[in-house]
Amino acid sequence: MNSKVGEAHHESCYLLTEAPCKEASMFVPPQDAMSWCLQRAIPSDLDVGHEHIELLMTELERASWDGRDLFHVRMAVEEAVVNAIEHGNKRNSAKVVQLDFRVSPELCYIDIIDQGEGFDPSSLRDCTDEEFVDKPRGRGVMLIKELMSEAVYNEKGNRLTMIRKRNDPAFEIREEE
Amino acid sequence: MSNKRRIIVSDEGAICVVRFVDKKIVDSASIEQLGEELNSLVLVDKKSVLLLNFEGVEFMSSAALNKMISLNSKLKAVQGRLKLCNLRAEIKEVFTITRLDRVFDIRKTEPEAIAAFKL
Repeated sequence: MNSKVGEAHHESCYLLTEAPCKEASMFVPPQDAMSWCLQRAIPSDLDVGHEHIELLMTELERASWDGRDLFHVRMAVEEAVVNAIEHGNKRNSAKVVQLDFRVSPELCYIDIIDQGEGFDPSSLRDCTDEEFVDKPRGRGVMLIKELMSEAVYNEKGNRLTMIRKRNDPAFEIREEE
Repeated sequence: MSNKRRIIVSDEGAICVVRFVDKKIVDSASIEQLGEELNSLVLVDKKSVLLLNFEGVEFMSSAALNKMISLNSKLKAVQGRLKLCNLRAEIKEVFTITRLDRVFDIRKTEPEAIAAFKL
């Protein structure tokens, strides 16, 4: 098992140009309290992004995550990484996406920074509005906010920090009828 | 019928039943291809009654959802009909959160969906 603090496995490569998110009021779990951490700058390449999502999923499973908890994190991180590469960096190969993933049996922390212009999440149309509900696009950000315990963009909108607690009671009410 | 790589198509009477090859529908090139194959069912193969059977699908991103929405629009344009079935609970939850459960007719099982077409 990789879940004991003493056996924690931390990976990092490339130089992180920004410290963990401070502008959000979000609790940033210290690395030594987590069973696995990865901090890496990846190229704006969806295949590389997906490889890192799979790494995160593997480590979550190793930390006993399963079912809806695991699905929710996969959905949120999938949308976030794709948004950072496609909409943030516009697949520009000269730009990188910084990933900070931290996993413990109780908590998953994800911080994603792109080098794009940013955006105002509040400017997105409401995809559940009758007028737009059958139109493509605009669901990723909504899913991120709905499926994670907390999800905060920085002011510029090029950085998303999110936390999912395992067995978070906030999600029990949506169990299938 | 045109060649398909991301979907498996079978006919149940007048109903065209579509299953998915990929367990996880996330790869962007595969999603684009999936979208083209779904659209070609309507535009090339002239299918107008479709059932998407999600058996075996473990995960799909919103990019894949967009292809379903696009298919729905194509079918609407030809007065076609679309139903979905066998969604795992977590994927059904995604449809519920995004209110797409109001756009799509989602049934639990394939027999239930096929019966609903015949109502």
